[in-house]
Amino acid sequence: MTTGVTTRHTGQRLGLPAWVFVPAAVGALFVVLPLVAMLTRVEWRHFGDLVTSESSIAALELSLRTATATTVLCVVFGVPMAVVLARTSFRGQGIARSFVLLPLVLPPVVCGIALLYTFGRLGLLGHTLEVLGIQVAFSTTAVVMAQTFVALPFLVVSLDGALRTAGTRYEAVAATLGARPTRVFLRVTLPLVLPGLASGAVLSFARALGEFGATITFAGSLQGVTRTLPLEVYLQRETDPQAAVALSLLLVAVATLVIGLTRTSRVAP
Amino acid sequence: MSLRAELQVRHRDVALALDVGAGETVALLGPNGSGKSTTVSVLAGTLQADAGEVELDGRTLVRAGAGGPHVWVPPHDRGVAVLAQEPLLFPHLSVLDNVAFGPRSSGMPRGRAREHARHWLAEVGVAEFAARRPRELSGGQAQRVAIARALATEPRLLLLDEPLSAIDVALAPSLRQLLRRVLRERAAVVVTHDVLDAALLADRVVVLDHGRVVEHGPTSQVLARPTSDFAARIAGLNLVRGRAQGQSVVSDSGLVVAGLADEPLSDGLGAIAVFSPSAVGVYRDVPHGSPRNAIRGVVTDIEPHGHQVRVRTEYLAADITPAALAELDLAPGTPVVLSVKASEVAVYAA
Repeated sequence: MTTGVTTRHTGQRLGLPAWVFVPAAVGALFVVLPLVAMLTRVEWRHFGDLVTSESSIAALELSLRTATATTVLCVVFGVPMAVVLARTSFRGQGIARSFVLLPLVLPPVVCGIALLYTFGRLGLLGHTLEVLGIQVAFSTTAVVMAQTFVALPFLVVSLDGALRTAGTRYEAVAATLGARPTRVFLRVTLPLVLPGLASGAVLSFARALGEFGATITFAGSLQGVTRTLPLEVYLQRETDPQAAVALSLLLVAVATLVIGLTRTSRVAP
Repeated sequence: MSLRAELQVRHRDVALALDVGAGETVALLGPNGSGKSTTVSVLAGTLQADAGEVELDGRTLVRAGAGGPHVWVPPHDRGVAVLAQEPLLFPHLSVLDNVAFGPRSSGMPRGRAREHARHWLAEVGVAEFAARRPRELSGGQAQRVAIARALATEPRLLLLDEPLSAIDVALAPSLRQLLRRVLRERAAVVVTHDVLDAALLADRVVVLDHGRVVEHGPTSQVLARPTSDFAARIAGLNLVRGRAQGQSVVSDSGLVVAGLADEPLSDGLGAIAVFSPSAVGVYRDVPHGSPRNAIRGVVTDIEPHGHQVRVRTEYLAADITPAALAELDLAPGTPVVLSVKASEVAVYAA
């Protein structure tokens, strides 16, 4: 049994088996239904007060600030990492790629513990940092580090893919036209993978915005310093479920806004 | 001498030498996998040679293997521009900025680089497209822009890797004329499998096979008197290789082809007989009372060739009219006798 499906762009009719629509619909429902359920639980009368309380504002502001800083760090370190992975070949490259992707599959709390034992006061580099007068654990810096640790792979993966898809032919042409490697990188490589870079940056931002486990383990939960929106939601859930739902909705709104903005900007380049 | 190259790339089994004189265009011919693209990549600097030396206008670009310190000049510093099969215009830059890219890369200020780019766009006849994006151009227009972009770098050597093979057949002649004009005073290497490219663009031809040079010489000579099977094929000629016996050539497989030799041949030495498929007649039986070569064969292939039909046998090809084809009732597998007058066969030393 097949059914005719008209694809959006070409008007071509593709034969899809009819049964695929059933699991597809179930899956979609599974994603959408909880969001709707949350909407039904929001007390709209108090919504304004709940999301503009001092602790909420502080958490939202901290979340946006740290997620932005994280995105910048992901671009600064992730772009060179992706370029090295996609454009060079060296011994152990496969292993290097796996290690870069590790935070993607590790439980965030494990990432937090790993960071704690590296940068914490008793960690591998903790003593060195302390001698230098730097203490990162349980500071806003720690929040950014925790978020960067878990968000970096998102940028590296999507850019690595974009670079491999783009191939090296344009780069070879640019070189034979007399462009030095830095000029090739800035004027040819990066512009060609800009959509991949943009989507990678958005994914990193979204991942940073939702970070919970690594943050609470490595940075703790201090209002205005390390208590980001997800931490605030979790805390409020114990004492004031209404506030927790309202803040959750706020998080959903911010995430939707970010993804929506980048989608429209990619459709119209 | 502009380019002097000796190169060896082991994993592709390429080992050859290539020279290009000042202002000379050399065509690199050969079947697929004969080492043409490898040669171009080594000259452009996108592939490392295992051994050899490349010198351009007296400057060493590559020295690898034995003898002297290792030299490898990166592609951007060679003064070697490449024009590939596809235009590969940068999709994110305007046509003008594509052409200005090379001059800008060598440090020319933006304004002057664009002026320079306009000059080259006009030179190749696409000045009016300067503000367009590459995706708004047709294939032929894009290739013209690619030519302008390569020339705008004022290269010491221009490498053209099958520059017309991806171009619409109807547009190829005008582009070929353009290349003929811009290559006139330029050192260039043209990789091609098209006899027209070789005949119209190149002063000299180098034929490669299995990574080695099998034949080289002035274009007109190679096309008229080929000594390699590939050159004969692209020149559209039948070639029989063997040993001289009087004015005849006897091949290893036993074919005997009588012809006319310009210069006396020594019996037993390597010799080649060459003749055009249009000089060959096709018969079902040996024709009587004619002073012709009669060579038996079995039809392997029949294909249209202009207004005629090309009939191929194991060794030779013949062009006959469609009417003759119908009359002879030929099909692959049909035994035939090919006949050619000795006066139509050129015989020379291999």
